[in-house]
Amino acid sequence: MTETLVCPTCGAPGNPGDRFCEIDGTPLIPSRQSSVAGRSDAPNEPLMTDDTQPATGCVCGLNQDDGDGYCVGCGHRLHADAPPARMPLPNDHIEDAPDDLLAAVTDRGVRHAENQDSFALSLQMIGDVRVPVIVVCDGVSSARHSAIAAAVGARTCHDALVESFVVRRPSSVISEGSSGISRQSPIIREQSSGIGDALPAPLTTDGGRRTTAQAMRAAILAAHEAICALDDAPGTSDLGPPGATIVAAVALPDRFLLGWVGDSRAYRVSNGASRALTRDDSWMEDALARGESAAEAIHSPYAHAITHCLGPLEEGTPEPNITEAPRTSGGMLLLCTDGFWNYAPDATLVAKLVQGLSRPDATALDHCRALVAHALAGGGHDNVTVAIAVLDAPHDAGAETIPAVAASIPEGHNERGAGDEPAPPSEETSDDVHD
Amino acid sequence: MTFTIDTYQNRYLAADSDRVDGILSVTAPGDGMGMAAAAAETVVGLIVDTSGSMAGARIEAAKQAVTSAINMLDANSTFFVVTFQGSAQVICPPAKATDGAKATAAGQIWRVNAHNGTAMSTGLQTARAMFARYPEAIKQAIFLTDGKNESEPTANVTIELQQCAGLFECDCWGVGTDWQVGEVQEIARALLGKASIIPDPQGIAAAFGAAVEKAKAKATRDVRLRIWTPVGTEVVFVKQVFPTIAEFTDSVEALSPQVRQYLTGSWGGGETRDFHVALRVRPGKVGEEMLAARPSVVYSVAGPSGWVEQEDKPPTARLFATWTADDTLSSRLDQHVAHYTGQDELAQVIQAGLERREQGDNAGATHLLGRAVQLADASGNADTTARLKKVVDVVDAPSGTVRLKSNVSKAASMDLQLESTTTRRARKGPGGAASDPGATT
Repeated sequence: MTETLVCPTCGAPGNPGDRFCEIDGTPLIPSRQSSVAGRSDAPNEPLMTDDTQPATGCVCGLNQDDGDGYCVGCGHRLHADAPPARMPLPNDHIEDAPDDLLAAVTDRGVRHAENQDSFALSLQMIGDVRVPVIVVCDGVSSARHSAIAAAVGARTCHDALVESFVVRRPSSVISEGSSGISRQSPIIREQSSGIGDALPAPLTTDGGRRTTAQAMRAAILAAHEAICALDDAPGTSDLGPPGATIVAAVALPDRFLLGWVGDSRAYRVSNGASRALTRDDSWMEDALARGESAAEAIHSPYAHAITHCLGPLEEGTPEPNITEAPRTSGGMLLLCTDGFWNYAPDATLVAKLVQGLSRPDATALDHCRALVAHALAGGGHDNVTVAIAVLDAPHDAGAETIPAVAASIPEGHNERGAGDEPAPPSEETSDDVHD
Repeated sequence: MTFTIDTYQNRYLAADSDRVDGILSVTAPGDGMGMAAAAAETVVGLIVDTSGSMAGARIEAAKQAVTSAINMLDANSTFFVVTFQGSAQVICPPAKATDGAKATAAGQIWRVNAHNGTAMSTGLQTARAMFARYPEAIKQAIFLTDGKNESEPTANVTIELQQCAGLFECDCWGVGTDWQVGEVQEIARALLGKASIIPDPQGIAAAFGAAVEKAKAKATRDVRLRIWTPVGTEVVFVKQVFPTIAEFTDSVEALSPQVRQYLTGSWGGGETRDFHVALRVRPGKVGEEMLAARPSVVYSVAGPSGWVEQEDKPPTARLFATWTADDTLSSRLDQHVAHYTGQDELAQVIQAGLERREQGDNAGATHLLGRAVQLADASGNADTTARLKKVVDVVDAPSGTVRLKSNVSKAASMDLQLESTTTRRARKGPGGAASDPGATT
């Protein structure tokens, strides 16, 4: 399937084979224009909900210019011509679906002038196991170049994850603790009959080994470095230096590997139940941890503020949150930005939303579109991004379905840092199911 | 050369919001103002308390300081000296500061003795009569006392100040610690000046010297901040926020329903003062853009052939209101507005904390002065932090954890109270970092 690649920031189509925009260097992304119910994308038509262009005209009737274009009576701006309509941008609405079981949708939302969310995803194979790789980023709206920061962050982290887990010999990335023994030497994987064997076997840069958690951490830090490297001159802007959140997931053959910084989230939805896999780096979470009540905290001016992000806005290097859990089948993994979860604040509601909004045989893309539409219908105050990997039973890790999600993902397993703790052994693992 | 006005605000308002806040940073012209200052006719009046409590080191130091101050003046400045106790005397009638006049004045001052009580309104009233003879000059008074205004009803000073306001400016000093901060601040506030403490009489000469230098540097008089607003706009407040906090809201002169004017006194060349303007406007609809305020500066400047009245209206000096549905735009707080709002809160908690301490409410004082330490630390106001440290021991500044000192010198506590309204200037340039809670996605 050929895809049209476009630049998410300037809208220029990419030349075949290009990965970066030749005009501004932004990583190109696949784009399939699709209209969302209730919003018109026709070019040159003023968008009714857009309010970034000022209306014109005197409201007091005096209509007398003070010499600078404002009425001497009511002070409102006077204009002879109508203001230009806002041109739709290519990243106002973007969808990607490598197949029926993996998809993502990002949308500008109703209120914001620009979509500063981004995602990168792909379906990899390790042996005959489907390994979705998904990264979602949300640019800080009070920071400069947010759309580019989110796009660069998502693409950089995604590519680094694919590089670590698929392109490189899988043996160079150690899954510790499947049998409780940490491996010291590289092992050739017979079942990696796909991509791995066709390439030479690069080692990690220091010639050593890394755990899966370390590889995720490195990928997120690479995204951070890429955002820090953006060409950023403040000029007269009163916005801060670039910053973005990130949430990344890889469904490896034996485990879900998640990493995040900020308040973009991942959920596990299975058998009508759902729970959050991530815990926000946010003022609100800190307040709740201090014992403040949610009912009070929500009224604080800091209620929606994040405490960590990628990029120079962080003023230092962020420490990515990492979590791993045994891979289970059935249901889905769902990654999203706060533009979605603000319309589904209770994690347990997410499953109900998924069930309620889509047909049982819906594709991943159908699910994503439905959840994005739910956020827009609720007001769409922010950019909204939803990515879904459906974990179909027969093709996955060969494990039994574990019915109760809560039981299979151990509490308190979330880690901050290098993840030097091994993943707990999962009951159903057999020796031939490894990275 | 003109006055410049830089504006700082977040112009975006949520739908139905009617509050506009902006900082106006006003700077007097610098170049060429030396000549204007030299050309400006200036009258300096010294008003000195010579009540019985001044006897001894204080009166001797004061007499020396007055003499030195007069000696610093140029021959085209006019000076006079008024002493007061229960009544007031003009011991040096107004005269140009020629060498001869300075010598005569020295003799007259030398003969002054301290005796009797204190009635401050008499000194002010007599000085007013002298200043009134020079309607076109820059008029600066220097006021010194050492005690409470105990020889007359308090209202006398308040009534006298109403006559003096707008006629001359006055900076005030209290020597020692037996005087009342509130009484002296009332005079300074009404006459666009500052009240300060001189703990030790030896410091009087330096204080007077600085005051005369400041008077000599004044080049513009009757400087008024004039603000045009659209129909239906109310002014919530107009406050000076740098270099000190001073209220102007109630001293408004309404030229018309849309144009209001605030008298700020005489300025030296290149001087900068920042003002916080808060308005209530008629709310607009989402998408509408409105000019909310147009400030200008009206003043008299000394020219080669006399005073010239001028209005400077910088074209970019405007406050706007743009209504938007995007709440990431309307919820942002401009960093200058935030800084000065914080400095204002700092001044208020210092005053409140010191009051509690006076009343013996140590718990309340600790809490409020702790908050003051936290605000001063966060805003980088090192001078205020240093003064606070003379009244409290700081355990942890960022969290505002302090302990009241058991032994606090009265001078240190009065100094803190007097200087609480001295602010630190807001930093220019873009702010915002991950530590800024305004960072939302």
